[in-house]
Amino acid sequence: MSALANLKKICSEHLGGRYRIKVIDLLKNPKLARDHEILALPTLVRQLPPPVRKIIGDLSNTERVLVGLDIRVAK
Amino acid sequence: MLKSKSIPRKSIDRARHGRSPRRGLPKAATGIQGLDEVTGGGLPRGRPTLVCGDAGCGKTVLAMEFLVRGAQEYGEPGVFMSFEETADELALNVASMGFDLNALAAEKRLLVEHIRVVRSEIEETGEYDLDGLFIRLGFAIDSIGAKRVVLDTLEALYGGFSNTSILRSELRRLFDWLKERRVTAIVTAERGEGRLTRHGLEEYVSDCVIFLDHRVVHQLTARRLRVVKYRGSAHGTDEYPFLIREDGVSVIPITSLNLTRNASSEVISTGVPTLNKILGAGGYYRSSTILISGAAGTGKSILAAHFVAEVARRGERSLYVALEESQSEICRNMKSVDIHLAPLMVQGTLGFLESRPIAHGLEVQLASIHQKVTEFRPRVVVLDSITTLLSMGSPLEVMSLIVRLADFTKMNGIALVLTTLVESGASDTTNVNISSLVDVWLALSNLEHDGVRVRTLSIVKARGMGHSNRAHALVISKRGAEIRNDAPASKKP
Repeated sequence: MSALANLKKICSEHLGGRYRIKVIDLLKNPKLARDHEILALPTLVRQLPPPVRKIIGDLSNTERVLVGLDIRVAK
Repeated sequence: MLKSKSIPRKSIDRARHGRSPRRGLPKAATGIQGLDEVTGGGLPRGRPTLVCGDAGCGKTVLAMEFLVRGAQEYGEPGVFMSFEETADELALNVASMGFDLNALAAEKRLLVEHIRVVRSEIEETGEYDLDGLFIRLGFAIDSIGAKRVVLDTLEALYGGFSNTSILRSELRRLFDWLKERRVTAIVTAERGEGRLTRHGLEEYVSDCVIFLDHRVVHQLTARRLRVVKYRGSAHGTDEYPFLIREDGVSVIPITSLNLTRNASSEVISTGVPTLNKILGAGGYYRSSTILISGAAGTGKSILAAHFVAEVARRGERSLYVALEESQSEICRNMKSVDIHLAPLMVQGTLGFLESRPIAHGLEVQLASIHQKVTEFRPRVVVLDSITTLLSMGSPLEVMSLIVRLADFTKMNGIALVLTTLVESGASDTTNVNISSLVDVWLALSNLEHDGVRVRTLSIVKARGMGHSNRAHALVISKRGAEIRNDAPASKKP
């Protein structure tokens, strides 16, 4: 759950209102794990804008999340 | 966000302290020729087995055959999780062995899932686990009711994730999870420097470890299989030659553990009436292995050809594996002693398999004989001569080939005639130690008598029948071979 809290915080601080978060429980929808090629949990999938990006872990490293989402350029 | 809460982590302790594995360890037959003999019945049922070796050693093929045979012959559906090749690539690669993965998949007896692991596509921020993999595997198993699972090769995960401490604990959890699911699993891994696998997967698998080796000796490829460990079970500890053939994998036990065959008491004439007389039963038994040894020019091939011609007269087929001379040379030479082979070929009762020993490795040689026998369905196979095989491998390797071939012919009710060249004077030794394997052993030699070279024949052994213990004269004339009662040598004081 810390990943979701971290994500909400990052989004509200850096994206204003321009985001939508959908939480999927793979135990209820196991087929989606295959469709989205998920191995690690939790995984954050950025579907828009393309290309699709995947960030795994509890999202505690804000800097790397921002780089992974292409919000900030890596130094 | 994709997430999941609870995959139990601690419930494994129960499984670990369960029944003793030593008492009647249940096994899952692989259906792979020879492997079930070497392992005394198959892999540990409901537990993971590690198969390791270099790239190209045959891990993937062996693992896939385990699933295909499981689905086809034992009614156990299987899941193949491929971390390297895609499902299409795998299907194409094994199609040459007659495995139709798409058909099995359509019948829900096999499920192949490709798992892409690309580090550049994964950003890691903080703690994670591999529950996604567990969920996918569990979903795949449940969707077809799989009893068998292959993970090929799990170590690809090390290429995708940088946090090795998380990986290590997740892999341990994966192996425990596989045991809890009671699936019979094969996990493959690449060989490491100075240890079995590159990332030490052998630490997690305590039940069964199989090592495949692939080396080139005298420019010829040799594959080997070794059961490194099999807890709670007896197993063959040797290195066994291992072939990848056109119809799958074949492991060649040096001594077959399974010798249940029906001994035939049907007798077939040797084609030489006077030879029949000194063999107590009046000929060879139907599915016996016959060794004819002798120096050059003692008449080994002639005795083999007489038998072939006799079998053809009965309307049955023979296969002549010619390793020394060509088919036309053999036909010409036999014609000079009144044995006419060429018409038998036209008739369809004689087939030749010519093979230049230098051209192929021993495993290819065995495979081609095996295949020809399966196609041509002969009742007699002649291998002339086994001495030639020694240029392709060590005596031990040649012996293992012959043991396997003799097992195969016996089980199929085929008589096997082997000729072997020996130094003159050493009539009852063979350069390949197969004497315990053969049922009938005819030793031929040349004796010098009053300035004349005389051929002799003696029966070193003939299982299941009384036989002459004397050295007999073997006369070869324009009418063929004939045995005379006494050899000149026996008259010597």
